Amino acid sequence: MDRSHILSRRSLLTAGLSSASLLALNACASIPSNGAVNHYADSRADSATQNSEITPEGPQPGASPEEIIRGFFHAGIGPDNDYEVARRFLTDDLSESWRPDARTLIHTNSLSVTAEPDEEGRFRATVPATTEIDEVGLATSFAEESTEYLLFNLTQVQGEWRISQAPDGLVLEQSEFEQSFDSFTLYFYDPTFTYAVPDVRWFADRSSVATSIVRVLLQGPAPYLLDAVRSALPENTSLTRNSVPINGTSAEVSLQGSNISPDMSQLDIERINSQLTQTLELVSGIESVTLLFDDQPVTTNALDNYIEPRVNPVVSQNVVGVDGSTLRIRSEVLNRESQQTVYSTSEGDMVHTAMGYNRQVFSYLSSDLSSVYLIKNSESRVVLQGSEFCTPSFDQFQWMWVAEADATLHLVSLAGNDFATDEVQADWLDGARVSALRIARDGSRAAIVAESEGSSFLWISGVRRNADNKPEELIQPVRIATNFEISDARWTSDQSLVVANYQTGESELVYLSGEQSEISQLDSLTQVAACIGGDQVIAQTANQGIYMLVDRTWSRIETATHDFSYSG
Amino acid sequence: MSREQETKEGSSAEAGLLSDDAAAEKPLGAGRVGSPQKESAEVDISKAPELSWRHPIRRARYLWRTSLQFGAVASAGLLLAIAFVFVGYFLSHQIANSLFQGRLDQALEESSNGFTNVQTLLDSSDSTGRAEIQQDVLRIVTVLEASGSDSEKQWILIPGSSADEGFISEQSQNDQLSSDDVPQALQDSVNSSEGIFWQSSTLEQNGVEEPALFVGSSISIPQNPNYGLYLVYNLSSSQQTLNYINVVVGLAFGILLLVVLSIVWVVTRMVIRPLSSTAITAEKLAGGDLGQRVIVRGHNETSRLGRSFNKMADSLQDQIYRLETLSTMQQRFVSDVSHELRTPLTTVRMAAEMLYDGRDEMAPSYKRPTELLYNQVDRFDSLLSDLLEISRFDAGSAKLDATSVDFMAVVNDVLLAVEPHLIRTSTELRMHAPSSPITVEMDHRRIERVLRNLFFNAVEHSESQPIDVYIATSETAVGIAVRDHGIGLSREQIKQVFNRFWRGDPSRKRTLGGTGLGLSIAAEDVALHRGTLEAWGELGEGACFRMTLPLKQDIPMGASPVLLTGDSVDGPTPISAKIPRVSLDDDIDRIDSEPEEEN
Repeated sequence: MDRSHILSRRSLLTAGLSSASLLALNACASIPSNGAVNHYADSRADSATQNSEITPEGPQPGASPEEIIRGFFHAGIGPDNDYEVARRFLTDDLSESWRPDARTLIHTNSLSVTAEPDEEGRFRATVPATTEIDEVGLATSFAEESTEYLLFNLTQVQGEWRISQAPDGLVLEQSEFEQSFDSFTLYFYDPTFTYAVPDVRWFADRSSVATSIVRVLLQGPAPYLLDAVRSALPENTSLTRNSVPINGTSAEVSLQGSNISPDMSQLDIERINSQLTQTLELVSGIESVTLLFDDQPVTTNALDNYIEPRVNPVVSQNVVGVDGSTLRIRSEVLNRESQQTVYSTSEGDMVHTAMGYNRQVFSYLSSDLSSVYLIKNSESRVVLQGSEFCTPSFDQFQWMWVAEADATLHLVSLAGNDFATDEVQADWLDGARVSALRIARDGSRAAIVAESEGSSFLWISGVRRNADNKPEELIQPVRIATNFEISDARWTSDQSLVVANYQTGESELVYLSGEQSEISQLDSLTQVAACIGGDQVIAQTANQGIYMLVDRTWSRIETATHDFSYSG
Repeated sequence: MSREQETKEGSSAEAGLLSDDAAAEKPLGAGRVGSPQKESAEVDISKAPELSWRHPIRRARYLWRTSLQFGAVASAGLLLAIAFVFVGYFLSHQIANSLFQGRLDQALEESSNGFTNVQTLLDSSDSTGRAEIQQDVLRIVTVLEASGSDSEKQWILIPGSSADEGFISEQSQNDQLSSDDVPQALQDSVNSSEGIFWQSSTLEQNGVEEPALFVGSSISIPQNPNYGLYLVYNLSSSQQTLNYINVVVGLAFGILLLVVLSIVWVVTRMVIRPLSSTAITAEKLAGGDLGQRVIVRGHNETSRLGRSFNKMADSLQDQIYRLETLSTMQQRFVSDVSHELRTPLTTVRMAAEMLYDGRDEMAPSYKRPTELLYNQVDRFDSLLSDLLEISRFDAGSAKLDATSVDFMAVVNDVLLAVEPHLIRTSTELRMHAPSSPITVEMDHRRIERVLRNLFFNAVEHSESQPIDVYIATSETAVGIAVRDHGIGLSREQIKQVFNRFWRGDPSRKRTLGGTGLGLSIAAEDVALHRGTLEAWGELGEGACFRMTLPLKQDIPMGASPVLLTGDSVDGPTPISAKIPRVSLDDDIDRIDSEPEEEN
């Protein structure tokens, strides 16, 4: 080995060692701690932000204060982005705090805007309101236009007028209201959770309406149903996040509260699920509900023998009618062959018939409307004596209701054979003349037609029962507007009634939402009867002509039987 | 003398008396003057103990060259280390990649779902008014905390970049996280375009920088410009896993490396040990211990080597023993012969002397034969002595009896002896010598004989021309050159001058006696002193004989302090004394302890 050879081997060794050590340092890789910005995905497919396609105009440059106020009212038809357009009419301060959902005033005539004298920048809007929607969506129609005075302060912001002080709420004209609002139904239940009781509310139709509905549902039923219905949702329950997002067609409802826990009985959970589902199914785009308690998913549909409360149950189409002096029952009004005899009387005529839901009990009035007969077990007996009774009405808890014209509401117990009678309290009816009292299929609401101060009213009132489900009181009611004076009303579904004026022969369908549907007039109309939920309405004229409602017109039925009545 | 040294001396002949180069050059062998110097680094094992652990590289280099085992283990270790580094690099990067990629995919999936959830919740909220919206946003963003399986995930909401600001301030899951932690490039991308963006960066937690993943997307909040919502994933657990794996892999490789090196070491040991023990035994054998043998185990190749080595050593030992016996026998024979010869010779000599003393009383015709008889008997006696002497040298039994003697005193003794002959031949002898005594460790009897030979030769051949004697010393040597200006010798003759029984001019009358063995014996005597005897000559110019002796026997001699020629003539290549070799058998290697001949 000579020197040069050693040197080259040495340098080779050095090179090898240094490169190995360099590699060794790099050999220990690590999680990257820097890097470029990378794009993962495009923005998610547009979630269900349905824009209502109404976009009102914002404030015009150089608008006068009155124009600003009117524009502001009109902007109430565009709820997108939390009434973003309407807020443009406001100063920045007010736009942060103004709450459009406090109430909604609906007017039909033009409102007027005037400047307040002696006060710079202060204006008054005079609104002849016909309906008011409150914070929870309850609509109240005024019998007469109720004039509301709304005060505004306006200031100049960068040369333009802007509202600096305004009352919370919207002011909409009727057509504007119909354009931007929609009715929604909340469901509550009778005390036995057998039937669903609808509670109609109005909300601005926007993507967040599901949240509003659930929020309002949690606050409980309308005043006229309070104590009459039960909610499956316990007290002090709230949404975890004030938001009900819709994933696909499923609405995600996350609840929290002192009475909410995953340890609740499965029955309670199922009922909550039913209530939410039945309520939210009516919102377009929602087909099911995902229930969570405190963000933890809850199993539903896990109870084998759970029967959901029925929405708008259909009453059977069996009718009871009078043929001469015999009370007959048919499976269907047109099916003569199915006719069977219920009872034959020997004493006078039978008028204003009524039938229980199990078709085992029947009732009728004497022709002078002073006696109420009850047929049970093929025996007839007088259960009430008075004057000017209305057609009796049955409920599912074995009670028969009969109203007297002097606003006495009688109860007859159908359990056993005692037929004890009682009265139901209704302080608000005092002084009125009752012409109809009909109990809804759910047994929690009563429709009353009463006349006071020269006008007739259709009231819907909740039925407060005691622990044994015995009716005790009719709660302060809500009024359903009708287009004419009415004499009688019958439930046609859980949310609609047919009302009739026996003097003029006018009749129409009215809905709990306040809508009305015209029916052609029938001369000398004396009686109406309806199959609840069954889409069948029968009318009777003075000469005992029987008519059936087909497409809003009456068509005659040939039959000798008269005074028909469905269960209910 | 080696070629190197002689060429240096040749050049230094021009320069001056002392030759520094030659003195400066240290032979690589340990104090062995005149030993053959091979080119550069033949490793001297005796140097090994000097290298200590303070010079690891030198020691490593040394070990690399001397130990085959070390070389095998070192190269195996080096190659294996390089291989492991490559494999480890590959492994580590693959694992890191896969770990990171897995986390990344999971994080992106989670984030995408989370962002969609948050946006859907915000869109479905019916809050109005600043306070409500603010409260909503705070509650909704917490959805990101509940979902997902990762507890090392945090959210942060940062206002977008638009000029008009929203009324929701920057929010984060915990106070330590702020918009400064989110890389600006990511914020810019999120604020400027739709979609989900991500970036790797670091997050400082408890003073330690940890790798983190930032995923962000812009979300729209009612009554506000777009905000950026970010999820920060702390990847330190993945990093720890990776570090752990790295350590484990490194450890595993380390252990593997050690195992492989041990295997290599064991395997090479199996081969090397017999080899090195054989080498050691051979060295001991070379050192003179002829009884050394290799311990042989087994029947493999190395044991075969051992066995054949042992056979060779046996044979060597045998031969040498025989040689020694032969030599002893021979020497004894010569000694016996010479003694036996001496007895009759003494008698004959005594008789011849008597006759010689009484030659004047003899008949004239018997006078000459008596002189002849006496001279030849005398010559016979000298020849016998010289032969005996030569035979001792040949047998290697010549002994150096060295004492510290004054060289000049010996020279003076010889001068006294030669003086009558100088007068007789009218030869001038010029001394060029220092006046001070020169103490030399030498056998004065032998050196006297050498000097006597040189001087008498000079007188014999000087043709009455003056004789120059130069004596000089260096630190380590003393030199004497005897220069005559007589007939001289040619180059061819110089080559043979030290041969036995060689005469330059056979016809020349020998006035001073001489057996023809004088120079040979002188050369042997000088060689015994580890000195040098050189001759130079030029026909018609004369001849010069130079003897150089070391001052002390254990110190190397170095260059001669005296010029070979005594003149300023270009020094031709001198002829060194050639010691005849003992040649018993051509096959046996020569034990060569003498300088090589060069021409």
